[in-house]
Amino acid sequence: MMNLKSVSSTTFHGLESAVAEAPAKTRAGAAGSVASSDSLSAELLLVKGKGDPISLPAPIGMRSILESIIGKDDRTRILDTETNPWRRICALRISAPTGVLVGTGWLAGPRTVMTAGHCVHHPQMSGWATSIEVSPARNGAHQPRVLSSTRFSTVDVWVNGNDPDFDIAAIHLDEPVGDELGWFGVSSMPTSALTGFMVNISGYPADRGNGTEQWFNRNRVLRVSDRRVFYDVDTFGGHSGAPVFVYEEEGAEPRVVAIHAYGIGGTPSDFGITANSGVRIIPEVFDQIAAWVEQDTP
Amino acid sequence: MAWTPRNGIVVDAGGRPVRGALVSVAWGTGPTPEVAVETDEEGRFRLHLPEGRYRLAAHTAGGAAGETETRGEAEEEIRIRLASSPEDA
Repeated sequence: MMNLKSVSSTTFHGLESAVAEAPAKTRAGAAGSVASSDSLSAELLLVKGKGDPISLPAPIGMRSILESIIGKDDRTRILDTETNPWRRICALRISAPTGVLVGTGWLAGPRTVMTAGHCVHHPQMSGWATSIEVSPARNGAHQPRVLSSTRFSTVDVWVNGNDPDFDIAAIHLDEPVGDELGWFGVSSMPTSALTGFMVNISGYPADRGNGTEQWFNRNRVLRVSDRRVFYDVDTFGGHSGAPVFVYEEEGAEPRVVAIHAYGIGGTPSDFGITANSGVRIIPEVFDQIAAWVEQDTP
Repeated sequence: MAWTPRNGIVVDAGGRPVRGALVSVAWGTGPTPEVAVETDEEGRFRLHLPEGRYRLAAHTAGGAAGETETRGEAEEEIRIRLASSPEDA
C-alpha cells in the first residue's frame, strides 16, 4: 500500500491509497458550453469497446527508425480539432530553467489540465517548470485559445524518485476554459475489465508539425500491470501527457483510463511485448485527479 | 533512477546550428519521458538520459530530420545532423 501525497509548486495535500483491483469508479466528462459540430474525425477514427488488435506490419525491407512507432506508422492528423473530443486535448509548451519542451495535456475539469509528471517536474528541467503555455485544440499555427499557468501539482513519489508508475501531474488554470470546451470523463477499471479494450490516443508529437499538430492513433490494450497500461498505439516525443481514452460502448462518452508517458523503452523487457505505456488510472490516481479538480473549483 | 545530463547540438546539412528544432528519444532501452526538447538560439539542447542505449531524433517545422545514437551514461556532446537544410534555419 502506498499513500500518495500531492506535491505542488505551491502547497501540499495528503491522500489515502487504494488497491488496483477495487470496483470501477467513474467521473463524468462534459461536452462544454460552446457548440461542437459533429466531428468527421471522431466518426471515422475512434475505436470503441473491446476488440482484436489492429495489425499493420512494417513494409518489407524497411526498418522503423521511430520505434515508439510500432510497425507501420498509421497515425492520422486531426484537422477538426475544435470539435469534441479533440478540443479537450491541449498542446503544451513548457518553459523551464533549462529551456523549452513540448508535451500534451487534457482537460479533466473546468480549470484542470492533466498531463505527465515529467511535464511539470523532472531533472530534465532542473526541478519544476517555470510556466506552461496551454493551447487546447491547437491546429498548426491556429490556436483557438492560449492560456498560461505557473501552478502545477504532481505526487511526492514522482518528485522523490521519478518512478514511471507515478508519472502524473496537473496544471492549474485561472480561467474555466473547460466550461466552454468540455472535459474528459475518467474511469478506474479493474484489470479484468480494462484488458482487451481498444484505446485512443491523441496528442502533439515533435515529428509532425513540431508539436503544433494533433495526431491520433488507436489499437488494443496489450497488457495491464498494477499501475500502468501497455498498448500497441503509435506515439512520439511530445505525446507525453496525452489521454488514453476508451468508449465503453457505442454512444458512450469518452473516458480516460491512463495518461500516456513512455515509449517502448518504458516497457519491462520480460513482458515480451513491444508497447508504449501510460500511468493507469487506479482508485488512488482517480481520487488524486478528483482532488485536483476540486482544488481548482472556486 | 539516475539521469545523466547530456549536452547536444543540432546542425543542418551544412553544419550550421539549427534553432527551434525538437529533439526526442525515438528508441531506447530505458524509460525516457516522451517529451521533446527545443534547441536554443545556438542550436543547443540538454537532455537527461538514464543508463542504456538510445536513438535520438531531431525534427524541424520545415520538415528536416536527423538522428543519432548514444549511450545514456556517455559524456561526449551529442551531435545531430539534419538530412537536409531546413527552410527555417
